[in-house]
Amino acid sequence: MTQMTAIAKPRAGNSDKGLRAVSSRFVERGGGALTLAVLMAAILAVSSPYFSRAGNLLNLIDSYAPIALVAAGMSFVIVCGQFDLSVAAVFPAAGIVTAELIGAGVSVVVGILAGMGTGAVIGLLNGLIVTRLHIHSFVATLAMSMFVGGGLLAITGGDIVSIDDPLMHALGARSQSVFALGPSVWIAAVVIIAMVVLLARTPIGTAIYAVGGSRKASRIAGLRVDTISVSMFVLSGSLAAIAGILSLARVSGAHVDSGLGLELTAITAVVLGGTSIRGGQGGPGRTIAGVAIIALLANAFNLFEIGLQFQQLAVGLVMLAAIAIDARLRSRES
Amino acid sequence: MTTEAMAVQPVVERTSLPRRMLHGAQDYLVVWSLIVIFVALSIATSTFATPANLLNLADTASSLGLIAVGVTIVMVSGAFDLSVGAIFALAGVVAAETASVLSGPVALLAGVVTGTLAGAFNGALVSYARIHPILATLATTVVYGGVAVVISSGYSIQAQRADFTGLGTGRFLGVTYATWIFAAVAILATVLLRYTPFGRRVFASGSNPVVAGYAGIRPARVRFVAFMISGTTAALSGVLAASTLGQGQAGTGTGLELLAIAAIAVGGNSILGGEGVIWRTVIGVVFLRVLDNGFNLLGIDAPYRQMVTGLVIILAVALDVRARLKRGTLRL
Repeated sequence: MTQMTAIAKPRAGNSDKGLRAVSSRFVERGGGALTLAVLMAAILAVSSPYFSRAGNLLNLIDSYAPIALVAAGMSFVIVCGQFDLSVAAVFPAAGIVTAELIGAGVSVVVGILAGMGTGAVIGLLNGLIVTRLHIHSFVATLAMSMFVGGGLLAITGGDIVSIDDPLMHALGARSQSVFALGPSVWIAAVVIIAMVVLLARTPIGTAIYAVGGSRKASRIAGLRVDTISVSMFVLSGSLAAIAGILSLARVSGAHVDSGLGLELTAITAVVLGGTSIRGGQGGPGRTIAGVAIIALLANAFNLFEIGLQFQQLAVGLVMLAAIAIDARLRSRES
Repeated sequence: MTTEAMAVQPVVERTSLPRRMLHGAQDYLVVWSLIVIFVALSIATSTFATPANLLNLADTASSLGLIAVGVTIVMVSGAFDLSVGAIFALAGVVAAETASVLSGPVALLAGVVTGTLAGAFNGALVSYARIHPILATLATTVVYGGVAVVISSGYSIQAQRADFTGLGTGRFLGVTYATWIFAAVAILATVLLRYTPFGRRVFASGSNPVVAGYAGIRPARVRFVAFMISGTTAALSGVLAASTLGQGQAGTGTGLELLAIAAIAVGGNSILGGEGVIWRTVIGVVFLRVLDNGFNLLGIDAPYRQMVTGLVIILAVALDVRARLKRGTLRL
């Protein structure tokens, strides 16, 4: 029935003027999350002398760059009307494959390519299972997570795989200043910007929105619905793999459990950013605002030395508030 | 799509079970597979088909089964409940914490009631705040988990008093109380879904909420109650686990919600709403647990068990989808 409403519902009054129309259009484009993130940053800057220090901000950017990549990939899958829970397994898988290969004496470039390939292949399998075997993506990617996680346990025996390689050290170098951001931040930024452009400015992006909005209508319109869906899983797997490799470079080690809960963090960021879980709307750009909210919240707990035990509850309440407000605005719109 | 298919279809088939099994052998693939695995394990190991192992198997199946039965009802009503793992942990923590001031039975009850309230909150978010069920329960997973962490300060709370641990460790006729409780809940849920007006409202809400509305059913209210049931059964499972271990700890239920969904899917229930039977969920749970237990007895390492479980979930669901497509009970 979501398909029906998606077809029947016109885009929220673009011709309307008036404050309400402007505000709902702002929310529709993900402005709410951005506003919240800016507001949080402003409050932190005023209330804590440590927040605006370069060290704190750069550290924040460094540690959340890989998560932003995973969340950006998740945005594509969700826009396309699916879920990818396997990122929690792909993230460590790419790191472990790369680390093992480098440890075995393979060149760094080949190791990194193999790590990325692992993510792409897992994504491809996800996509094929979902489209060919008609298994709900929630179940399919969950099963894939278990399978890959088991494989990684078998390979590593549950131990950390560490590397000591100058090239990887260089890749994982920390940001020194706003003008000398670390390579991993640059890579994440370039990839995410490319993804935003892909979705917003190309025919491929339009096709992705169409498939997410209504598979049936897209099929009738002649779009290759299955190919597009599979590509989104490959994309999500590849981005999660890049994130895993960057994380490996940063901490010089990879572990099976390093991706634990990452799938939920990514979905949370996507949702906070304002992408509809029903598909057909949203995108990776606004997801970055969602990642920022999560990062700022975690940072606030550190800065004010609030007990860690309250952190999860606060994140949950912010998330709940955000989606409740979003649901209200959307229902008023229609 | 499925909604149209469901509208013209009778909700419950009235032919006898053996006849249906002959008619659609493929539709019952998971049952046959379970029987084959059961027989194979009995032959391959001397330890599988022993009363002690089977009772242990029943006990571990009960823990997941209680959760999965509640989630099944929510799914049939056309929603999703991802928060059951968090409710499982929260109920255990609340029960263990209460046990330090009040008597054991009261503490256990407090844990279960916490689950009912948590379920009601989920239901309110979905039915009245109109938040998508996946989103709402994803957020409450974080919230309930957070509440459990705050209550326990991140430590495991000990509750070793005898009137608290009695429920989880006691047996009746050699079978653990947990197993009896699960059996009772499964039967109750079956009766509720198949033979009561509420059950019919659950199916109607899940298959076509609009038509259900025309028929005077309020899908929002039905889902609200379904979430309360799911919260209660998850809490029951959590309280039993806390009672068995004599402790409650935040984070213990992580992943149970996904395992429950896997069990439901493996049993052959649709996760799209509007259809589903409790016995399929029970079969799915037993299937996953037998697999795990069997591999354990065969001396296969945990990593490989996990890999095979992942494969089996995909295989089981894929074959089930194929069979349903052939029979026409599922349309894409």
